[in-house]
Amino acid sequence: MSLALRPYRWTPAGVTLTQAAALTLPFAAAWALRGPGVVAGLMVALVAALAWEGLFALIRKRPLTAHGVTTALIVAVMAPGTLPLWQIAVAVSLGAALGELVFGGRGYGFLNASVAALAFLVFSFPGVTLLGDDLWVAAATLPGAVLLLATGLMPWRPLVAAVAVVVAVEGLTGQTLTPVDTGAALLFGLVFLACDPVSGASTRAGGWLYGALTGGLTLLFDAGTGPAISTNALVFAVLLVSIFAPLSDYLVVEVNLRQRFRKAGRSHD
Amino acid sequence: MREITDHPVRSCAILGADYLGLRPALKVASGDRVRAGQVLLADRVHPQVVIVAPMAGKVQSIDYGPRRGLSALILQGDGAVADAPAPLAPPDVTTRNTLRDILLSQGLWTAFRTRPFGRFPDPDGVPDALFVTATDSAPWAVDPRDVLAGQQDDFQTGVELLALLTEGPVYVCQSAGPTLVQETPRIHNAVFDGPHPAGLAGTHIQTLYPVGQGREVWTVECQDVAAIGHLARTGYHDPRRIVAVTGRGTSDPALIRTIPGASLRDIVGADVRILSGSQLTGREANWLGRFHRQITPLEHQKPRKWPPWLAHHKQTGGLRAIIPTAALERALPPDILPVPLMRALSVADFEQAKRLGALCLIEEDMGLLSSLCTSGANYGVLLRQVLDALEDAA
Repeated sequence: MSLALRPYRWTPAGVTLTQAAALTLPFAAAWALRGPGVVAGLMVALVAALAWEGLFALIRKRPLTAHGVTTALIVAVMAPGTLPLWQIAVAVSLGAALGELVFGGRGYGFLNASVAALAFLVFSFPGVTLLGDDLWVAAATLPGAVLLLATGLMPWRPLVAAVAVVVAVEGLTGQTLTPVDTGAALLFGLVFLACDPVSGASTRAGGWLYGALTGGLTLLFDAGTGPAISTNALVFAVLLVSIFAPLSDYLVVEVNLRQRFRKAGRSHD
Repeated sequence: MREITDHPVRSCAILGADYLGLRPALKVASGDRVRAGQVLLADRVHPQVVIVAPMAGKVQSIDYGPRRGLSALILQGDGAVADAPAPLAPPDVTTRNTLRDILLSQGLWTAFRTRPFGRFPDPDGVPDALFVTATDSAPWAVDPRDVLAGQQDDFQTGVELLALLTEGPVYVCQSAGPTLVQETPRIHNAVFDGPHPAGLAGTHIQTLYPVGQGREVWTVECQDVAAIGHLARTGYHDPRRIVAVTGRGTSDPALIRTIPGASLRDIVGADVRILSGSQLTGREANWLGRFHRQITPLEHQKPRKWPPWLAHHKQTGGLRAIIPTAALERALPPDILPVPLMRALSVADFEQAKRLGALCLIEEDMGLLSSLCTSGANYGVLLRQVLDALEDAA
């Protein structure tokens, strides 16, 4: 007798809720490290993200959703504490509206709203250095990452591929960075930005390609800014790679078609 | 060996939903008395393809569905006529045509279903391969091995006869264990073990003999094969099949011997909702489906009231996004990419769906995917729309 499986159907709201739960610890770590400014940042980001989401729902006559919660949490963790709050509001507004809501909301687009928001932040306001590369934040990311992996809401292939590429290239070029430093610098961003199931590749092989590209581009963008890997580089790498994620899926589909057609031809003989 | 109880059937139904594409020409009228094995209806396009009465009784009602298709023909047993028809002499089956004519006349032709499209095959068609499904990986399903245990000789004979229908291979797909049939150059035992959908014919076909590009294979369920063997050995077509009553509402799977189309209310009781089929692909029904080997009574559930602001998150219909989760990766046969196929199906991109392997699949293959996807879409329905369009274009 086969196993009595109990299929669990995720809803988009459930996915967001679980991701938000995974984000609480990193947020708490950021709060502990940087003080109450992080909470103010979260509040502003929440108001901006949810206001736009509500407005779009109203215009499109769709039910209200709260996917902006994760966008706000991620931006709150990664935005530097010295940033004026209005800049966070502008960046989150642009990120949520142009990165996600114009496409129809979470799950319909190809970008991650928080990646778009963070990229806007860096583009628009010179001198912004994103955070989230602290060892404590990275440590606080681990339980959330385990939760997301266990619930199947985070593809692990991009994570492994990106870390492998970074560690390998750094090893080859003789950088002094230890794997722990590298992991700490990248973990939060990789888990919550690069391994977003929506904006990432949606095929297994595509996931490897996507992760490897993320790692490679992060190193490329990071070139010459000192020994530690900057979060800015990671954000830009993820932004660029999510644009190419559909392309990597397309390539995987074409390879799959070729293989299946060849298989069909062979067993016909 | 599991205990099998015989279930007396008081009424049964022939359901149009089991015979996709059948355009019925009725041979009986409402109120007629029929013998077991009597022809009830034939297909208009292929008049040799008939459906026979699985039991003696009176035609209680005939309901039509859309486009003059059959919805249901209901037979009411009256106990006045002996159930078993007079046995024929054991037929001498040595050629494809004699076998085909016997299967057609006994109403067994509709036991076969084609891939692509999942319809009953053209009587003049010759499949490139035949797949005997002797596996079931649906939740709570009983291994067909247990069911075949007393019918090995019939099954062996049936499989040998099937080899007459095709010039290609006959795959007997089974779980790990002693082989079910003796191998010949064309009859193969193929082992499929593992979690659902490992036991579905779609998985077997995709793995062993992918269709499309003008290839067609037929699938047939193992008990039908045993019935074909029994018919050849004894001249008697036994319409009864063994089905399992399973599910969270029942403690232990009970095996019962009944006929396809039997009233589920008679079997399970009147006070619960019943699925004909498994939890994943079953349909809520009053009658046992022709191809269903599982009956799933549903637990009694009070409809939950959600607060209005949360209600839309819990609804099962409606428009929601596809969020690719890890579970989706294992919901379809190997080599079929789930998320690209789901996207192609949800926007009705026929050509892309075909390229991604939709022709290997029918509704039952999409059950697990539908139950796992965040969108709440019924991919079985979407797949059928795509298959219909592809069939029209062919």
